[in-house]
Amino acid sequence: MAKLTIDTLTKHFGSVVAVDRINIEVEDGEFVCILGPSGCGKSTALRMIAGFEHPTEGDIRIDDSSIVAIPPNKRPTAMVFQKYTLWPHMTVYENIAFGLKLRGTADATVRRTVEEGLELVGLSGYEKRYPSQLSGGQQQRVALARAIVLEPKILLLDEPFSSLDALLRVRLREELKRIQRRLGITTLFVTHDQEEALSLSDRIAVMREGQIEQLADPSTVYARPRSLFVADFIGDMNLFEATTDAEGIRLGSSLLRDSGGVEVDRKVTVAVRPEELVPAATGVPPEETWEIAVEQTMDLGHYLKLLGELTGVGPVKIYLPKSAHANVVKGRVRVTPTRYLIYSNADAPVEVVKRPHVVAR
Amino acid sequence: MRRIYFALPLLSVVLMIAVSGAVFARGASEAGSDERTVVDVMIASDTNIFDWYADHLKPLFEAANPEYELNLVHTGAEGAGGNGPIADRAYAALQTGNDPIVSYFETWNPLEPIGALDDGLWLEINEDNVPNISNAIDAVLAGSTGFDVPYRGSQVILAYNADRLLEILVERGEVAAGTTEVPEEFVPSTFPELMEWVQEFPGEFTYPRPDTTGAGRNFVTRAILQANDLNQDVFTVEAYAQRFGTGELSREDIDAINDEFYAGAWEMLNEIEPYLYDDGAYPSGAAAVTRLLTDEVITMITIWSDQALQAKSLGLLPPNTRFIQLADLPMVGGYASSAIPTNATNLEGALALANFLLSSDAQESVVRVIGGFPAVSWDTLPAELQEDFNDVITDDVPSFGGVWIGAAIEGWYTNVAPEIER
Amino acid sequence: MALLIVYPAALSVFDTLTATSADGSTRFTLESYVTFFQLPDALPNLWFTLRITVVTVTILFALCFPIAYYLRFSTSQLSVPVRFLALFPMFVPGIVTAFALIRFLGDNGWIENILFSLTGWEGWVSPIAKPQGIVIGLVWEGVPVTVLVLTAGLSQVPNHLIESARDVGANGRQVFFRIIFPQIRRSVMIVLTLNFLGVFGAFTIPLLLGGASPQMYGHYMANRLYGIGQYTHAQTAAVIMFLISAAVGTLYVRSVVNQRMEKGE
Repeated sequence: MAKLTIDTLTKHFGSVVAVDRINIEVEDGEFVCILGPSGCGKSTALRMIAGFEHPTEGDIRIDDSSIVAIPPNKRPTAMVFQKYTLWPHMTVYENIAFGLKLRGTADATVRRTVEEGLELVGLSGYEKRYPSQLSGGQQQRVALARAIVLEPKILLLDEPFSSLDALLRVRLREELKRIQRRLGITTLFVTHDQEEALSLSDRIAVMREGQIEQLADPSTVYARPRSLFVADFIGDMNLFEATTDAEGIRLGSSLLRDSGGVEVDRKVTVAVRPEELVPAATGVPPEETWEIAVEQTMDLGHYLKLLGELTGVGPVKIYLPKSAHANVVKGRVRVTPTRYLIYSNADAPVEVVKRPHVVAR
Repeated sequence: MRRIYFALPLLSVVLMIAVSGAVFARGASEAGSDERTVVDVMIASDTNIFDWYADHLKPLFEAANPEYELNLVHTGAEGAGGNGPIADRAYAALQTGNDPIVSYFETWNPLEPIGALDDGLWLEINEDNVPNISNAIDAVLAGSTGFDVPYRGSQVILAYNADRLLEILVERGEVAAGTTEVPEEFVPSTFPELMEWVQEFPGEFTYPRPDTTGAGRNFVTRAILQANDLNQDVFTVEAYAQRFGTGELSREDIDAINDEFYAGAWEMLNEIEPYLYDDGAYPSGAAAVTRLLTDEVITMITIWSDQALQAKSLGLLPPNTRFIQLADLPMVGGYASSAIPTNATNLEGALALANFLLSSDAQESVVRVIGGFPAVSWDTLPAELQEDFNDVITDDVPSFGGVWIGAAIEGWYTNVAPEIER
Repeated sequence: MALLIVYPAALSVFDTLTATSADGSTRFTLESYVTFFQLPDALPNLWFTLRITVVTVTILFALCFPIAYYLRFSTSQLSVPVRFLALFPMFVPGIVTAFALIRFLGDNGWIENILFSLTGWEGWVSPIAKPQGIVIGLVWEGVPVTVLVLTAGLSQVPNHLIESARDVGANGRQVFFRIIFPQIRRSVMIVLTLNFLGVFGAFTIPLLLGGASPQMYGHYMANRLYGIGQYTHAQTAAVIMFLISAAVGTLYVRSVVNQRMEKGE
């Protein structure tokens, strides 16, 4: 169907660089999320693709032909906005039919297409309602239907669920994924919600200050964040300041023997996912385990979340299977990382995977 | 909004108290100690009149009458409420025998407050208490109730730009280039001559709508007088009341008045209309018509004498602007009158002031400073003053009963104005 | 409120509809309207007033809509001075406006002098003393409120609604007529009725600009009252003005109420 190429796309607003030479290729039928904090330029990038902003530099191509010079109303893209998406003076039917009618589609076809669209988003029978008579979630579904009935080559979504409550957000997310899979439509989705990005995307582009920090599939982004920013932004992560010496990596009084080849006498940041901190086996030398003073234990149903302090280093969070609760003795637990990442400079981190025998069950 | 409406009367009450307070305070501090006694003068007129009193009349009066000191109170100032409340207070004081704390009303109509004149609030003016009243001209006394002191007047006159008129005449070859004075035959001096002049110089004259300013109204009434053989006796208040009563004008009355008294005037005014500036685009208000003269759009207009003289002295009019007083019968004007309560705090001082205002010195100031008309004969004023104001001098200021004006305005609008081509 | 507005209004309407018979009893009659409209200038002046009003309201809308549209959607620096200029007349009293226009557009005014000194052209005909003068003055006075109301109305149309229309394929014209205009219909209605009321009852500008006759009704009524002293006619004129204004005012109130209800306020 369609491939979207974003080529060194740049946007300046006066002296502010909103989008700074980004490159993304979205393959046919692929679902790509642009994820980043507010103000990182992700919406601007999307608006350039839709045609509402003109790039300062760079190119946007659909199936290898540039669309930069095409006005938004003639682009083969369709967009779902964050809010105020439906025209309040039109019924649901009129909202969805508007774009079709502009294209000169025959009335009968319009009627059938609108019905199909509504069916797809689960709102059959809502044709005569006005937007003000719909809930927020229903409105966004209509907006989605309005976009997809036009059979765009590229579907663009700009934080479409961010103004909805959490439960509804999860439901619509699943629904969107189902529809996108069914239609096989090439989709670019902008969000600041990492959970949303992880659960929806084939690939995630993490943006920061106008640039893409990492573009990869969700598990790679999660397991090997390319930068400290990504590490911190995606999922929960323990970050510890440390230094390397001849024996390994020093964190306060603790030691990590494997410094992954990082030079000695360097300041580094060690990143450990909370679920990759496990109770230390008895045979591990004490200096290689971390003693954590547990300050708070939260039972999150299928696992425990411990908040504590790594002595002399800083706060730490740990996810433990419930069965491991016995390891917490008098408010203290000794843990050891099964895997950690070492960030020593701007380059990609060094990954260290420890031998599985240290894991105590 | 509601709060403001509520506050306004409150504010004027506060100001009233403040004004009386000031008068009281001054009276108390100086009454015993001073060899000069104070005369409280209430001035409700515009700021220019108050300033004139403060800057000119007060020094003149106090120099001539060292035993008195004038205390000027500007009741015409914004929010001060005018002379009405002061007159009410004087009337109340008369009935209770208290001190009214006022001696002189700069302008006041002694027919108000109702009943006050009958109850003896206002002092009858005669040659015994104000000797200079004998200097007042007949036109002034004719409009007086006998309980007031008319002392400054103004009148509608004609003003023309002599340089512009000369230019036109030179262009037409009527006079040689370089002529500096307009030959007399091109300056109208009577109403019929004015009518002819207007037709001879199309587009060079206009008068404002009669309902917007006296400069228009008194030109229209002058035309009416012209059409009635200059007989002012026809248009008195008494004659009107006898014939038409005192109620609202009915359609029939208006038609009757127009048919009987005004038709001739409308004929005259319609005759000149095509020759007026902009084919009879009668300007609205004194300022609009004066602008036509000051911006040199046209040559001749009607204008109030005091505004004309003041504008000229301020250099607002074209440098060679001249004034014309119609010789057959001037246009209508009016006089401002002072009044003195019989229970005045300082009656002697008030009478001295009244007499002073009709003196040659004060009357000269009326002419020179505020551009007003003297209430006394020009003959009693310095010869030099007469020369300076030769153009406007007249002792004849006709009157036209106010009650007749409504029908005139109605008649003018239905008979003169609508014929404008639009 | 009722005491200050409804009561005197009702009293005036009642007054004009009744007359006292010879025997002292009050009877219902349209006499005062009949005699009023027998005045030679009552009807022509009414038509004149309505004509001036319609023309002024139309010009105001045609002039101010593009300005409001520009102010709503422009991101350029120029919109700051444009906004200032559009709102400026609000701070100028009517009487000052009238005299400024006379100086500006009148005979030997600035325009005529500038045209003459630039081109030597002497054919300038001043509109000041013509009905056009009234229209110019009233338009000048009406610009700020018109621009304000329309800009406010346009601001209530979120950018996203316009962009989503562009996105589904609407061109500029379609966006305007199908998306923007339907959503600001009420603001347009409010501006039209508000301007109608303001212009229909205008006093200062028609008094100072325009010719002596025909007169606008506010001026005509005042003239009847102060100039001629016909209280009954003035009152009848006032009631006629009041009824026309009240009819238009009803439209205004309905627009405002509808808008509130639609917003769920």
